[in-house]
Amino acid sequence: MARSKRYLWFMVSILVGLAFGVIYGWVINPVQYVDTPPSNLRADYKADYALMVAEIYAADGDLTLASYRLTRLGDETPLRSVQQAIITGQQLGYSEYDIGLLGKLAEALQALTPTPGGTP
Amino acid sequence: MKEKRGPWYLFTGLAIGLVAGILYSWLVSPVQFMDTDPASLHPDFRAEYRALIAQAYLADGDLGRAQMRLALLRDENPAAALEAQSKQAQEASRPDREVQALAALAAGLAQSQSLGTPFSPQLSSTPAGGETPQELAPTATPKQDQMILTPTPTPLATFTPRPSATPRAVLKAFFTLSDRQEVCDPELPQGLLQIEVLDSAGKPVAGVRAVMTWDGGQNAFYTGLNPRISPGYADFQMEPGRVYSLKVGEGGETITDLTPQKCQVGATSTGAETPSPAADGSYWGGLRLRFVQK
Repeated sequence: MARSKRYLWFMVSILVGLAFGVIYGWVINPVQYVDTPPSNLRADYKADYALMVAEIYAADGDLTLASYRLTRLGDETPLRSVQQAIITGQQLGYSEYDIGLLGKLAEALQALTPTPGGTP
Repeated sequence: MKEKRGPWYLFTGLAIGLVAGILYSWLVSPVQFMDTDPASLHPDFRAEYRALIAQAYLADGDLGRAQMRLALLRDENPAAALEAQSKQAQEASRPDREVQALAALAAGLAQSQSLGTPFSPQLSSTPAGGETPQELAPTATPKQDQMILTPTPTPLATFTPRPSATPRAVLKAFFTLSDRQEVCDPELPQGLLQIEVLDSAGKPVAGVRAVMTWDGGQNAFYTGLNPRISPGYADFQMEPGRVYSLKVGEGGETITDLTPQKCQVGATSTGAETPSPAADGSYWGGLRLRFVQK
């Protein structure tokens, strides 16, 4: 009886230790990611990244390069990245001019890659 | 006979659990940082990001916005990082636009830091896209060390760059030679060609492409890579005995017959009195050219 009780407490202590270990590893001292790709950027940084691409595209008109740069954001398609940036930009209060730049880039990408069924 | 045992088995269990928990949380299922900031990017991506900021700056001429973006990378010295990257980009034969942009932004930052005044790359008088300049209320920058453990459906930060209202860079202006000097200064590298490019108002211009051509070769270099000398400064190492032609800007005039000249000790154009590196008392001097936008 006493032996089985000891086993029980032993298991409980393991579980308590496990809980502390997980809390330590996830919350107190989590793995630090220092070499992340742009696809892991937060939504607002992704939107600004797409805006930079749109600004450059507005100046040089190089759609291929713009499209290549947008693939870094890891979305399904470059067009999707720009569409998401427009949504985020509107939520964050981007100026009309900036939204317009993103819109022009989206239009150009849409013309470049027509989607089945005509929906983006 | 009753066996007496202490609570050590509990500590053993606790230790086993603790180790297992840490291993699980660090190795098996580490925290996924889905919403990172630009400062945590891999160095290669950081360089790409920096180049992107510079090219966006070249496109919109908005130094304030470029500075806000650079701050996200948390470089110790953004201007130095840009300067170093622009030199690396030139050595690695990166696209012209990228080198120009990095040089222009490095020069812009250096100038604004030294003078405390805003700086623009070579500018036209027409705002980008004919837009009317606008001013938005300043917005808060995101917390630099903010890391979110789980993906969030809505963006949390409020980084809203300012609108692109400043005039757009034009790097295809016509530059003409306004001054040419032979330089005898043994303290300088022998055969050094130094150029300075100014706009029509006499302001140094960064990011201007200069092409040096000689029999069987050609090399491009850019102003702005040494912003501590001047944003409009660039230099090129000539080889003695070789004759060069130089074209500054896309539509500039071509300056021919550029070659290092022999200088004698004591005949310094700068007044420097240092021993000559050659046994016969001569050394190769350089040239200093000034170009002005027409």
